[in-house]
Amino acid sequence: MNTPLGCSACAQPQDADAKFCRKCGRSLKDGAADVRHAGAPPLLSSPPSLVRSVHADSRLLRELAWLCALPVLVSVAYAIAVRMDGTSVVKDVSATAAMTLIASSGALLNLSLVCSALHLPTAREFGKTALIALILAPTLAATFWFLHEVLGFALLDAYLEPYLEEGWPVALGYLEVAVVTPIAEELLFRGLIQPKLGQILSLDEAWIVQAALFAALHLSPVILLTHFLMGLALGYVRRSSGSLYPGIVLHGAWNAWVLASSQG
Amino acid sequence: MADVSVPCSACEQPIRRGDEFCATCGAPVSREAKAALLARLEVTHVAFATQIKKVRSAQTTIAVLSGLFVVSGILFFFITRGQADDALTQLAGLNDSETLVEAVAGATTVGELRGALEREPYQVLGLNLFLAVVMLGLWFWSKRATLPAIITAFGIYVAVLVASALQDPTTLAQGVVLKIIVIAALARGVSAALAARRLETEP
Repeated sequence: MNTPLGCSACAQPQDADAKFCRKCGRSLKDGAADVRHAGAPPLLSSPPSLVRSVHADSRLLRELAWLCALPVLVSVAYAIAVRMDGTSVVKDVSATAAMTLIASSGALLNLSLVCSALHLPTAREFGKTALIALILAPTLAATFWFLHEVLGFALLDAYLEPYLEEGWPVALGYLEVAVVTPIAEELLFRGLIQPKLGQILSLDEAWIVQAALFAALHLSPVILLTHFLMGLALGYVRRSSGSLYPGIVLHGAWNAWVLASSQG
Repeated sequence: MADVSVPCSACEQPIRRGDEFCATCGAPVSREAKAALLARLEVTHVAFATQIKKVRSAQTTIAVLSGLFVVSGILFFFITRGQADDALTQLAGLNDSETLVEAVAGATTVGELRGALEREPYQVLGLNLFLAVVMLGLWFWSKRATLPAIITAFGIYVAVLVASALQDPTTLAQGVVLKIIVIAALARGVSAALAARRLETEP
């Protein structure tokens, strides 16, 4: 078993006799430190050398493929159903339920991984999240405004129409968009996909790739950039706080705002 | 693979694959040294060389995709504009404020529909050029870190294919052979890059 001797700055594995870090170049004053005791952040990944077998690798790739492909299948089924005879509340609720089912199944199969992320973060972490929200919100809002007003893309304009037409309370639409969907997406992307990517990539790489997949899987080139930025913010919050809760709150608040401002 | 090394230009101590700095003197590893090391590894480790070949073909695929998006952006700009012009001539003489019998893509009046038709070619061009830029960026990233870049390119490309098929199912069959080749090359590139990383980190 490899002892995780690493650089105390960038946590990359080092040889015992190394004087400088191979990755970041910093001087290793008393030799490479044992990463476990160096106050390294909660591991969202294991150093590549610990997960060796080709078998484990292909299993991981298969899991990631399922975690990405199943939501896409739900989106495709939903889009086909809508194309056939319009939007309806039943279709919306079914799609949201299917997504939640996928996320929950994934969580159940990775219970320890997910449970370790379901703890309340410190007040400082919540403060950090609020700061990110303050910086991110105007940027995203400006981008959405540009897409909607200048370039003329429709976004969430017609989302609540079926609810109003069929007599369902608007609150149901908000429940789906601002509560259930954020929980499902955070579970799926930040709770499962990001850590699993972290087993074959570095933490930074897993963070960026997760954000790219989050953007891509919404299947709309129009919102690719905005959702990539969101994915980066939410992924960062997950990494630094070690908890899924701040991301859920941020994601839910953002979705609620977009829905509300798309109406009328 | 740790037995293969090149000497550090500053202190002559061995530099191994994946090193950004010399572990003995801290000097940054030059691009030439990395290239020389890679060339050595391809000669001494056949398994590694096979994987690197597949990774290289995936990198080329990403660059080709970027070019293809530029080409298809320009192509579909003119196609869409032709279709829009045909539709606009059908609308000629109608007042902007007249309401449509049936809403078309969110437009309820003739004026809105005219606007949408005029904008569409530019939207198509813009999206394709944006994707071309994304692929170009991923190609650059793949030179520094192959695995995440290829995974991202694969995910984005598949998502773009699915999204355009949902928008217009007829596009699915267009160039389907090329699409399958691209997807296969990228998928192979992912597993090859992962295998190469494993080989690199083994002692």
